[in-house]
Amino acid sequence: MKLQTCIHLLIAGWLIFGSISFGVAQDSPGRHMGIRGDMPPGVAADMARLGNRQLENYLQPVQIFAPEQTVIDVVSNDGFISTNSSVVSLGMFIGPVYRIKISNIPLRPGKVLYPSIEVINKLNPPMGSENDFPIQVVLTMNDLRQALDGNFVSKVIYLEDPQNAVPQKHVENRQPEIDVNQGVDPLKAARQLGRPMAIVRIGSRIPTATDLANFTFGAPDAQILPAPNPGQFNPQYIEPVEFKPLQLPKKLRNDSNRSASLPPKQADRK
Amino acid sequence: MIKLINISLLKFSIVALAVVNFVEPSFAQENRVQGSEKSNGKRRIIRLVSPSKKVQPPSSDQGSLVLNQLELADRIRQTRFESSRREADQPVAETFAARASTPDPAPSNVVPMPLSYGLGRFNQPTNPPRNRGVNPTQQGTPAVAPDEFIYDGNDKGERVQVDQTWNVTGLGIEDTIGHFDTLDGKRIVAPSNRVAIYAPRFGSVRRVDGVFRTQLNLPTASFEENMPTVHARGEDAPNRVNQNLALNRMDGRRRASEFNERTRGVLADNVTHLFGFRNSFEAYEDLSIIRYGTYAKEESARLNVGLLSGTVWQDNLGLQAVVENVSPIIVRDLKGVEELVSIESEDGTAILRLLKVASKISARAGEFVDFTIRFDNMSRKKIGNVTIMDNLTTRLEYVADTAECSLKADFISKPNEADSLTLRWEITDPIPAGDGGIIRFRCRVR
Repeated sequence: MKLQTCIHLLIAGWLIFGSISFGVAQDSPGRHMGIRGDMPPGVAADMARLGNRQLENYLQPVQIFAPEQTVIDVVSNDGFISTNSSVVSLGMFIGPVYRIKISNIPLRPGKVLYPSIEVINKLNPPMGSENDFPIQVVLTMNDLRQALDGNFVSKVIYLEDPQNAVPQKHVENRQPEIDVNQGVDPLKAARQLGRPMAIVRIGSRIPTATDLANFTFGAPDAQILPAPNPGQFNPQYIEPVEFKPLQLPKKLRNDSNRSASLPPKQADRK
Repeated sequence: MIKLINISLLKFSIVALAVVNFVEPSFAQENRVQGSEKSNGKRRIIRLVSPSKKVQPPSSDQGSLVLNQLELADRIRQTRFESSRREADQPVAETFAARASTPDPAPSNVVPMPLSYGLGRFNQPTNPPRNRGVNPTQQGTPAVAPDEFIYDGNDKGERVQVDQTWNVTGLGIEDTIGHFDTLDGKRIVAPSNRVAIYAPRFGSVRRVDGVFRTQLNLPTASFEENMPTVHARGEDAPNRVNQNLALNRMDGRRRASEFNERTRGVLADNVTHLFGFRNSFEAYEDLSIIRYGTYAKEESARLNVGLLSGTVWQDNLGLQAVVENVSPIIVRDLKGVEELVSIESEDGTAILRLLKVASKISARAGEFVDFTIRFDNMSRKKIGNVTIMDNLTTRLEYVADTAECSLKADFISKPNEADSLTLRWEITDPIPAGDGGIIRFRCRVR
């Protein structure tokens, strides 16, 4: 009886400490041990959240860029409501899988796609500017075309490592994109380039009226956020600019006639 | 009553001792300085050891001045060099060596000059200190998510050195340094502080799966077919022979009678003579330490606001010590990211101080960020051949024709290995003691 109890305690301890160590291994940002890109929707985010308590109940702003002329709809009350825009900022929790609807696709009249977005990490912007720095998800026309042709598109959005950044000029609504072959885990590839932040899946499945609840993964409604203000100046610097002549105070310099804006005296020149 | 006071003092001492032990040792070791720190606005004092004095290894009671082996060897090397110079009884020159033409910023076969030393050793800890820096406005290495920031400034990694022919080695990406000559022939490198700007950028990795693609990826099975030989070729005897002819002319080899200087292909420098300087200050740089080179205590509150980007890196909860009838002490002040570096020299050793600030603490891709560098001659002697270099990182793109300098200077820009530019200001005239200037330029975030 005692031996059996000891064995049970050992197994229970192994399970508990094993799960704790697994969680600690995921604690560092940018590393999600054991997460693969081909996992079912929601599993990667759950595992990431399991390893990092800071991801719990954190509303991460996500900005979605769809091709021009398209319209993005978001889930609301088990249905879709239109935003009448191809660019939308949404607040998403880490863990649920969110569905959006893209319609009015150019050159594909009547076609509709339902991409899913799964946020697996969070950003750490300066306080008060969380909405100004959302995770940017850019859906290209090629992505939509591939999905409409019957393929399944998996995109992993990653935070670029500044030490290994791609030297390219900024173009609005465009981000560096790398294609990997089949058999290559896109999450693993993204982890080598930076920190994976979100997984986007685009297929061509169309829900039925009775299947809509399962189709939206039971996720809460995404909160529509105001658009980021990219030109916003830092608040601490908003104060009147005072134009003063550049004159050094006398107590700081022996020579009161010398000014930092003036060239040195003739005697000092060589 | 006395007992109550004693208990209060004991509590306060225990808490203060715990706070000091909790905060100070790592900071002192990382920066290897001795100095005093104030609660609001950290002040770091670096006292340079006179090279003429004999270097003593740190004693056991110098807990805050821990020198590692490398730094100790460096100081001993400087001492030996200085001794040899003094034995030669070389008179102190009153002029500086003429600056050579613009050197290659990163030559491959340059032996660093042994006398090249500077303050970089003090400002480049192996592991960047958490939430601490040398900039009273914006600085630091965020501990939570450093990959969300772009940096510019300081001398991280290999220490920058400048040899006798002005070849610069060890200038890494993001480094900002200044080097200058002293009247006694030394060439010293001084790094600036580090500026962090929150500017995350995203990319995507895409994989397309489909039945059609899967079928395409199926390899074709091997196919073998035995092809019989349909043609046999006989071995024919050669029907032509070439006769080797002797040379009918021989040219003698003459030695070169003259030597033309061979100039290696070098990149064309974009040398610009800066004439104009905007004699007004933007809001972000309108600080006493930028305007006059002196730190004003009354600007502490404003500087603390400028630490907004740094506060997110700190712990949310800081220790607080509360003693009876005594105001609470917020320990967070001791862990602040701000720090002011003041340099004291025993014998008037020439020191160039570089202070760098940015107009924004956060920027999205495509936005402009203005940088301002204040440089001061902190010594009691004038310095010459002052050169300020900024090696921009990949995410920063210099906006053409935005470089300014309050002193007469030549501006040079060269492409670097990060597909950005290395900016270089060569101050034309010597800088008198206590004098300084201001450099400005603008970058676009990629």
